[in-house]
Amino acid sequence: MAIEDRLEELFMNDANNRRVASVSVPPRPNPWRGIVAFAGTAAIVGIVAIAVILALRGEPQAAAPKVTASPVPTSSAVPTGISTPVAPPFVPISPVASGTVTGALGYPSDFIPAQVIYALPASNPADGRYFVETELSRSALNYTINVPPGTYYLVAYTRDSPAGTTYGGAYTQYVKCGMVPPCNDHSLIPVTVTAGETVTGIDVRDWYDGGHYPPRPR
Amino acid sequence: MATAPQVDERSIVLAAQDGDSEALAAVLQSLGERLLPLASALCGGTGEADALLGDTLSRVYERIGDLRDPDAITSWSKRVMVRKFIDQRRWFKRRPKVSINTVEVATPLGTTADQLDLRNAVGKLDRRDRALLVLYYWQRVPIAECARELDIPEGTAKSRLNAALRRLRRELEGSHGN
Repeated sequence: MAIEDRLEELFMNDANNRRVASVSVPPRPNPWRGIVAFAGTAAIVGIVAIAVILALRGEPQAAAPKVTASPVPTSSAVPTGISTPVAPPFVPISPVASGTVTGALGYPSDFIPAQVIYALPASNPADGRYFVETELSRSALNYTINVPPGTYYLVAYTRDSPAGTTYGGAYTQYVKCGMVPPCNDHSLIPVTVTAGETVTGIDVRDWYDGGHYPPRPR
Repeated sequence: MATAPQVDERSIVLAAQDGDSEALAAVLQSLGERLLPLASALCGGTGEADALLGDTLSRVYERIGDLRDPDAITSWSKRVMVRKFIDQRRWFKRRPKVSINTVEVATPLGTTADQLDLRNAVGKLDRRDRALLVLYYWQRVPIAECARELDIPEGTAKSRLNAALRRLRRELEGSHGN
């Protein structure tokens, strides 16, 4: 296996080995802080006003205190509004269209990487005939896949992951229970599709199983 | 996690910015769950992730009022976390206000010799390079965006990525040769 794939597996494994049990948040800060901050702001405004008045009266500029207006305290970590082109939602290439499965995609990142979403027949999960592909997206993404009547598992893999990998995302009990502790059931949920029916809400969002999903079909 | 946005997340963040303690607690809880996988990946699956996440959430707690775009709270927090991870000295100087408790979950990897070798090799890399590998190979962040996250030019990010891979390969060949 290439080192890039091994790194992905390692990081995925590390990422999944802890769950939040609790977050302890202290009470809000003393309101006096706000009052002091307000007083400080008022003082700055006053100084600016005096400087403006002095300038208008022709006083030397050098005598005016230097004030840098900064309405929003800047931080190197404040978002800069980077925009990413929205990827085309999906490219359906399923050969047969008797029933439809739809849902949302997710990924443990700000991005949803290019994925391939398979409807794997529950009777033969190695059958990879029914799939759709998506492009990298920074925004929410839905998928639609057409399949013959039957029962399927919905599993996604990143498009550049090798055949046979068991690292992926899926529609599981963990998705149904909201993906928060203490829920920790990553078992796949079979989805039954009948002719002409559209099954909705099959969200392929559980990337936290750590490598137990069916191998990606060849 | 990139998913369909929750309808009321923006309003909860706005309420937190206005000083609503319950909304702030909800925001931090939600961020904690979303950011722990990244913290854990950065820290090699160790308990260090709790401290990194706690300090990141403390920063959010202190500075949420400065956030100009409430919709960007996750990406902002993630950037705070990556920068704190890289600048470890600053991280340990501060006493976190928000504390995190996590539980370990059994995972299938990490016990094989190959995985341990790779983990050790990654652990020897510069923290900025480790962050770059996590962002690029696990989070699938495009290289230009990685460069922005790490505050380095794009060309530098590419060369650091290649150099890190070369070093990992050398380390792994060395460990297999022993």
